[in-house]
Amino acid sequence: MQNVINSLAVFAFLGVVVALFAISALLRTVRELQQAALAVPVPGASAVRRVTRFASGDERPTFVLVVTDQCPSCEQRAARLAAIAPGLPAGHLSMLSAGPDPLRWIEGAGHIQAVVDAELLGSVAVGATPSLVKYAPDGTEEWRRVVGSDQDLDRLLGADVPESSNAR
Amino acid sequence: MPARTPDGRTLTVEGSPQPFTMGWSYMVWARGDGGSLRFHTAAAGARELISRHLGEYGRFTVREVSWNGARLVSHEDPENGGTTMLWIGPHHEVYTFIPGVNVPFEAFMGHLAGFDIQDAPDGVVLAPRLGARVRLGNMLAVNTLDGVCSVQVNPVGDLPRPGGTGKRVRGGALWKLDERRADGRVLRSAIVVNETTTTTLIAREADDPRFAAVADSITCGLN
Repeated sequence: MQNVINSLAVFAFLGVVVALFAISALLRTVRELQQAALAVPVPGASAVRRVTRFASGDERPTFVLVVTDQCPSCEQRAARLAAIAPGLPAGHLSMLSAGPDPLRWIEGAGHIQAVVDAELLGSVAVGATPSLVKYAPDGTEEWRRVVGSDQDLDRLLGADVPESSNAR
Repeated sequence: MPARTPDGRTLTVEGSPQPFTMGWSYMVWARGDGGSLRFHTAAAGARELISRHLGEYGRFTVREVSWNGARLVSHEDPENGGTTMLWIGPHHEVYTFIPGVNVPFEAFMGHLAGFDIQDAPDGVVLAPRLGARVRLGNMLAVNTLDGVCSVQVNPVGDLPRPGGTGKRVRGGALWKLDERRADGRVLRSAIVVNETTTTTLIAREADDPRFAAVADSITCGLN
């Protein structure tokens, strides 16, 4: 009987040692993963956003109104954009949407270049819609702003604003 | 009829002799590293309705955008130089007051981003996201019984308990308080305390028998 208990104790001790090894191996894996995750450069903060599609041939910037379907304020802002006299803002005008539905909001406004591209919309990644994004002539993003009213749209198209909080 | 509170609890009110004709409105403080912010929640469109009723809506600068399927609206009031920012979902709205004009929506989106907002017919819940380092506290719920009294429900620990033992009633222990105002009118309030809630009722007419009946029977619970 004593032999059985002794051997059980030895086995249990061995089991604990094996478990300790297993845990330390696991911890090392976790630490390596952590270091690997930290080593990955964080995109955004320092990276400059650039969309070559919105680079212009001339020296003028491009204002892009980013809209989504099912968004009444987007429709109002798009209609406002369409009503602005061509040549009044100091740049090209464009509207970016995921589907073709919003195109009817700017029907007949030849001065607005409509871009339907869900993938591009996802990579521009605005927080809320409608948003206005200003691109420099080389396609570099200068700023982005959520546009809550027609007056704000006029103001943003007319004047430079400082860097916005959600522009990274 | 149970209702969901913004901090994710369930509010049950039973025994009222007359029904509530409107849903509950809530106030809750969100505390984080960047300070505290007071959120209000109510039925969708309630804030606009009230400010229209008060006749102040006309002077607001109203802005609206859409954000993750919900509406974000701002009511900028030039009179007090402040902005009410609203998140309006399918059933309820969440709003807060931010001092200043030309407040960017991004500021409000930053405050909301700490929460997973779950809107359902029985209430909107602001669930703090993992790692957002915000927590909710000092929640209170308000409603009215038409023509009789206002009803305010706090979690029991949030308000001091009145002294003495109070009168045993259906909803817990009852205290009544009369305050004579300068014009001779009496302001009567009743406080009902039980294991989970402190309920404060303020009568419209001090000697309304319906008020006494409400105080004797209303039972509020929070889990």
